[in-house]
Order: sequence, then structure tokens, then C-alpha cells
Amino acid sequence: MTTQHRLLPALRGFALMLALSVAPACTLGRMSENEPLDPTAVRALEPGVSTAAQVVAVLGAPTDVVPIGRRSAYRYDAQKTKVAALVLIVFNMGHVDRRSDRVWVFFDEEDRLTHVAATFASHRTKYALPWSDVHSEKSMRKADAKREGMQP
Amino acid sequence: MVGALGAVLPLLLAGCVQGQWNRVRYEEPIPAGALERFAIGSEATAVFAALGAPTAVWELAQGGAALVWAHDGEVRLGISASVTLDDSPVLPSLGFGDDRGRVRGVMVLLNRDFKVQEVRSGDLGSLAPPPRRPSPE
Repeated sequence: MTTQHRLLPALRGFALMLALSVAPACTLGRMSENEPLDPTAVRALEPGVSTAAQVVAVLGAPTDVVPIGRRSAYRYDAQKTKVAALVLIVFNMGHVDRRSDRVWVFFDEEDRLTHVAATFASHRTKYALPWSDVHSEKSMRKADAKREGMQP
Repeated sequence: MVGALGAVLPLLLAGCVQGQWNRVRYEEPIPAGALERFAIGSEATAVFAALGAPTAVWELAQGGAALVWAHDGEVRLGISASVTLDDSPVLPSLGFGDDRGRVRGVMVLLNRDFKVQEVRSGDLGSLAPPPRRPSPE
């Protein structure tokens, strides 16, 4: 038996042991706050037409209400956080990715909708390790394609 | 023998030396070129189309509104070591965060007509937020 043939099973064994010792060190966690917002429902709101009562009927109770002079602004939001960690005792790695769906609707003094500002990103949250590029265009487009109402 | 020592040594060392590499990402960075899509005097609609929904909104003391978009991309690398000398443990630690360790953001100030009055961007802590209108008692 050559040296190479003797080394190969030993290397395989070492790789298997390494994989087995690392596997229990992986930790994944997910946290959500509020229900994700519906992009289709938000797009249906019409500035100049919709009233505060109609907006509340569609989106529910806002998270926050901010008075701005005679205007007012309502905030709706939902957050998703994904945590991945690798605990290798002497060296530990962790990654936290938190993104939100957030909608601000602005009303005039007669409670008529004037502006809508919307961001839908909670579905783009990813499990990753510190070196990963979680904000790449490709990755975000891929996530958008899977969420209803996000297609152009 | 060497392999067994290699496996046991890190476990023994873990009691006094630890390294870490952590990354925290809150929200998405402002898209490239987004700030060029509106200017002083632009309608708020153009701002929302470029930047999406702000993280925070408040009423300014002089009228109008302040809108803030914030994101955080903190990276932490560090090594910590502990050595016991006499009866008191000495805990030297070495750590640093990179340039993205601060919360970055954009602040847009709107006048009473909801038109852009001023745009500030950079580290959120250095944007010097204008005073809020105090809440009614």
C-alpha cells in the first residue's frame, strides 16, 4: 500500500470528524414583528381620493400617528430578523439581518390621502455568515420574484 | 498523537482566548444614485419614489417635517484573552469595528408645502436633527 493510499482514509476520517464537530455549533434564529404588509393593497390607495377611514379599513390600525401641522402621518410596519451563528468555541461567527416592510401615509387637514411612501423588504431577510453579500441586486430580485405583489 | 493534541488544544485555549467575527445589518442601504433623483424644491412624492418609506418622521418646530432613512451595517472583529495573575484576572481584549460600524442615513427636511428644503446624509449621529415641535401638554 502506498503512502498516498494510507493517507486518503485518514484525511476522509478527519474531514468527517471536522464536519460532525462543526454541525452542532450552528445556530439559526428567526424573529418577526407584525404581519407583513400587502403591497397590492398599498398600491390600491389613491392620493387625492382615499380618506383616512378608507386607509385604516384596508391596512388596519397604524403603529404610529404623527401630527405635522394640519397634516398627519400614519406609520405601518412589519419586521423580520434572521440570525445565524457558528460557535466554534475558540472562534465564533454571527450574522444578524433585519429588514422591514414600512408604509407611511400622509393626510391633509381634511383627512384625505396626499402621499404614500412604501418599502417592502421583510421577505429579503437572509440567513448568512459575516462575509456574505446579502444586499446584492440578484439576491433581492430573486426574493422579490417569490413575494406576491412585488412583481413589476 | 499530534491530531489528538490539535483537537484538545483549542478546547483548552478556549478558556482564555476567544476570537469573534460578527456582523449586524439593520435595513437596506440607500440605493446608489437615489439622492440624485430629487433636488431642493422637489415634491415629497419624488423623495418617496427614490428612497421608499422613511424610518422616522417628525414635525419640525418651524413647521414642515423631518424624514429620516437609516441603515446599519456593523462589523465586529475581536480577540479577547484572559490570564490569571495572582488572584486578579487580567482581561486584555482587542476588537474593532470597520467604517460601517456607525448608523448611516439620510435626512430630508420638507417645508410646510411638503417640498424639499434641505438634504443631509452621512453618519446619523452627525446629522444634527433640527428641533421637533414640542408635544402639547
